[in-house]
Amino acid sequence: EVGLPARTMAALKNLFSRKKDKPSSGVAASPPGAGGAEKRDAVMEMFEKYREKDEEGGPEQIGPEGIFNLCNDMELEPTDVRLLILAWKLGAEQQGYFSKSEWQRGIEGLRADSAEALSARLDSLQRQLASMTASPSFREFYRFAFRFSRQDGQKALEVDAVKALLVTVLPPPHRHVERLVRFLEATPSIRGFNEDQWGSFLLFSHEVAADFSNFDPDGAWPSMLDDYVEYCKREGV
Amino acid sequence: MSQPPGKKGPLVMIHAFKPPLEKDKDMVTRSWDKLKSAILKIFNEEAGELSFEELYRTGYNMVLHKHGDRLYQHVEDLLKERSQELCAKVETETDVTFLDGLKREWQDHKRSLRMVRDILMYMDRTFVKQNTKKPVYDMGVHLFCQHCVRAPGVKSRLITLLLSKIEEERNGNKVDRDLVKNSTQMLMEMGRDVFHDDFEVLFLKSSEEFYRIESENFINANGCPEYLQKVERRLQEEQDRVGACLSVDYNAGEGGIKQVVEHELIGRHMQTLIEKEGSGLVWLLENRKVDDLRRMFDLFSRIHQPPSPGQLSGLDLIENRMAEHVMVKGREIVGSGTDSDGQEAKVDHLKYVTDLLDLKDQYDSLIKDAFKSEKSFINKLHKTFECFINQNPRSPEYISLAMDNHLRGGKSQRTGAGQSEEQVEGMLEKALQMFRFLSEKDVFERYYKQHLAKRLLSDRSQSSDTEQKVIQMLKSECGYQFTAKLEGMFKDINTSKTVQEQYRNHLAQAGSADASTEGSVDLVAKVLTTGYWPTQQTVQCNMPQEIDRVCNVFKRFYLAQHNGRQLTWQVNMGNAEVTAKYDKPYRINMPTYQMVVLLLFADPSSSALKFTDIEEATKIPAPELKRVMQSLACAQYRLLTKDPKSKDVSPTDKFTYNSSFTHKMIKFKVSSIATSKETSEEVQASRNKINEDRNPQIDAAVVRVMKTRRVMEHNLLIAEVTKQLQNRFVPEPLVIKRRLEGLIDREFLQRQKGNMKVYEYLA
Repeated sequence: EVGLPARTMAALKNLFSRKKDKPSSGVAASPPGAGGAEKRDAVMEMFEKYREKDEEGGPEQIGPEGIFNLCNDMELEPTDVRLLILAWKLGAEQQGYFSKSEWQRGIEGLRADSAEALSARLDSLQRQLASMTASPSFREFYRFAFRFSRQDGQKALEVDAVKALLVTVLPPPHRHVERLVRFLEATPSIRGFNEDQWGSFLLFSHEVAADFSNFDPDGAWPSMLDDYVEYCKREGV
Repeated sequence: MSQPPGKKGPLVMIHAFKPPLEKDKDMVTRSWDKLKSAILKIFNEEAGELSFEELYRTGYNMVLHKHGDRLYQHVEDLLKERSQELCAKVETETDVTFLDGLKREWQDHKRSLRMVRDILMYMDRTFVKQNTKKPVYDMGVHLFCQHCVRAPGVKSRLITLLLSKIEEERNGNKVDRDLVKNSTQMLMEMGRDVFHDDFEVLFLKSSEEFYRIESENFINANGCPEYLQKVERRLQEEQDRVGACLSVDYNAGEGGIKQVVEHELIGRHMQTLIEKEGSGLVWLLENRKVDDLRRMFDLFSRIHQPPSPGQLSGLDLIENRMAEHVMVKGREIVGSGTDSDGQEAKVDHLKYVTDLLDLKDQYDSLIKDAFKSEKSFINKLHKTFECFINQNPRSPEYISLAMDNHLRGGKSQRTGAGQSEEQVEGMLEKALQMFRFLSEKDVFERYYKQHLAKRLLSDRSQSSDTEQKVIQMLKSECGYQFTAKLEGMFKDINTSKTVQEQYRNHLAQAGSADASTEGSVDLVAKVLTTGYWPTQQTVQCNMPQEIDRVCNVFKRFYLAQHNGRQLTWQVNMGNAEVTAKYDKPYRINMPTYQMVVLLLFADPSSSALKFTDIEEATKIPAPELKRVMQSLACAQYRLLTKDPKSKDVSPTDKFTYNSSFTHKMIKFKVSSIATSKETSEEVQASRNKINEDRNPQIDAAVVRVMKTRRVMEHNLLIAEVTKQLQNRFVPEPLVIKRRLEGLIDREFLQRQKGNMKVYEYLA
């Protein structure tokens, strides 16, 4: 799962945004700044729609419930990679929560004013990223995914999360992912990945041929990847 | 103004200028006729009647009147004819008289030429010079060469005879050397190229063949030493021969006779000689045939360039074969730690080291005596030792054990007799030589520390001076770091002696609350600083009351002096002297654990105790207790009886005081803390510990390197780190790589953005 604890639908409350009292809408031509102001308003409307209503004086943020609702409105599964992309673009610090400032900056930056617009934006981002996995922005996203998925205070990401995350972030036809997952399953001594191993794997997946013909055993790959190559050669995969 | 007949000598006379004669042509002919008849007379050795002055004048006039070229031409023709005549003469000689005859004609001819030269000197000096023609003498020699010596009828006979004379001599017959020399000298005088083309080439070729055949015959029929002796003789003979018979310098360079002979006699057969069954290099080395080896060394060192490309020079061949052999011997001694079944081989570790030292001695002295202490031989020997010593991973341990044996005053392995201090120091120096060859010096350090600890604690070190010397030697080998802890151990022992004295004084003071009471225990304590001594896990055990009391007295005393320190009794390292009454009172020295157990039986009325009872009472851990009980009940001195009487101790066994124990000695020792080699489990445990200890050292080396270099490529970093550590051990690249990953994780390093293979230091 990416970032969301599960909540049942039944426990959901219907959150409606409080419509702000707008000045007369009869003005034909809006002054130039007003478009921005409207956009900003729409963004904050969305925020209000999904935010946590629980605590008084508590932090202004969207919580897991709200995110779940947002996903519904965008017709996304909570495990979809596009949610992760959203978290990345918002610069979310904590899984399951979007703070007010994160939301404001992020959604404005995405130039989305409604759930549908947001959904469309995320779609196009996903396609973009999928097409250029060697680019610096993908690298950024990839690294973010790792850090974001970690538990607080941990340096490593545990192996089950790694497997799920890899499959989400580097779907086929990405080389090596499937085999690496099998390798991890066959090697219980590997309990997790550290940042170095995670990052190196991206480079590995781009550089090393599927048949390992250009794999340099004296290279500086983390030894876990050396073991992976050995495993594949041994098992004949 | 004519000279008396027969007297020669140019006289320069100044004539008045004479106008040219009318009868020019006539004069020329007449002049030449005069000269010609004179020259012929000279040829016939009838020169006595001639007037030198007149002839000289004739020649002079001819040249002066511009008839020099005619004169020259005539002389040339004449000399040519003469040479041909001589040639015909020589051809009639028989083989026996040939060389003599030729020599005679040559000498005569030269004499004639000299006289002719004198007569025609004016022409030489003027006409010849101006027209760069050959001077008369040289022309005469040249013509003799062309038309006599090189004439088909003469040339081949000359060369053949010369070569056969040389061969005769080589075969041991006496030959007229002067004759040969004259002939070759004649050829030399005719020109170096004449000598070379006509004679030398064939000479070299025939020599080559001669010696090839001779050497092949001889080598098949003789052993290596005999062959080498013969070669030495032969080379000397040939050198003499060449000096006496030929006009060449034997030692003259490339392609000369010396090289040919050496190549045929030595160069072609080097490999065969070395490999000869039963008399080759290995046999010579093993049987210490120093003279023969020296000879081989001298002879082979002459062959710098190998007989065929891609092969080695003579000395290299010897060096390599010697090294191969030493490797074989070394491997025999060293084994690999496991024998053919894969079981741990039974090794006499003292013999192991002694054998190694003997092997080194043997070859050190051979290199010195037979191989002139040649540096590359010494280096090769060292490399070979390095190679096989490290093939057995237990070498460090064994070397330390051997040194331990000596430091305890152990008997010489060979003679069984005791050793003087000098002998011991000598042995230790040699053992340290072996230490230098170890690649895992940190393993050695670990064992040496353990063995030293045992020596110091059981007071078994023969001479503390010798101990100190060894420490100094190690320090100069490996630096201060290596020996710091060892020196700390010594310090502790000395400090403990002082403390012990102070403690005695303290007890002796009247009125002291800690004063010893009647029948109490006399305690000698050694205080050890934790960091210096090999770490051991120790478990307390329940001590008898009186022992406890005395220990606490000491502890109080010590801690009063040294506030803030913590003392822990190391019960597994101590020993005790127990007075035990059997048939007579004995004084028995035994380790602390044994003492504690034995005292449980002190009460005469006590009954049998079970193993589990003893365990309960003393709290000694079971595996250790088993060993203790074995030493008390199943070993040499059966102070207790065990029921059942088996060798193994099981938890249900019962023990009783052995009333029938007896021994001829009143004073003896039970199971002292001897130094033995580790069991295979202990070896494994040590190995694990070593590997653990190496990791922080690798980390430290990486950080040191990266701190200076800041940025470094992966392979270069591994090489640099290996270099830094090589004085202690040789780290595996894979291990270094894993440590690098750890350092990345701990954020000491990071990978360079965009280049996985480069690391950057994170300050």
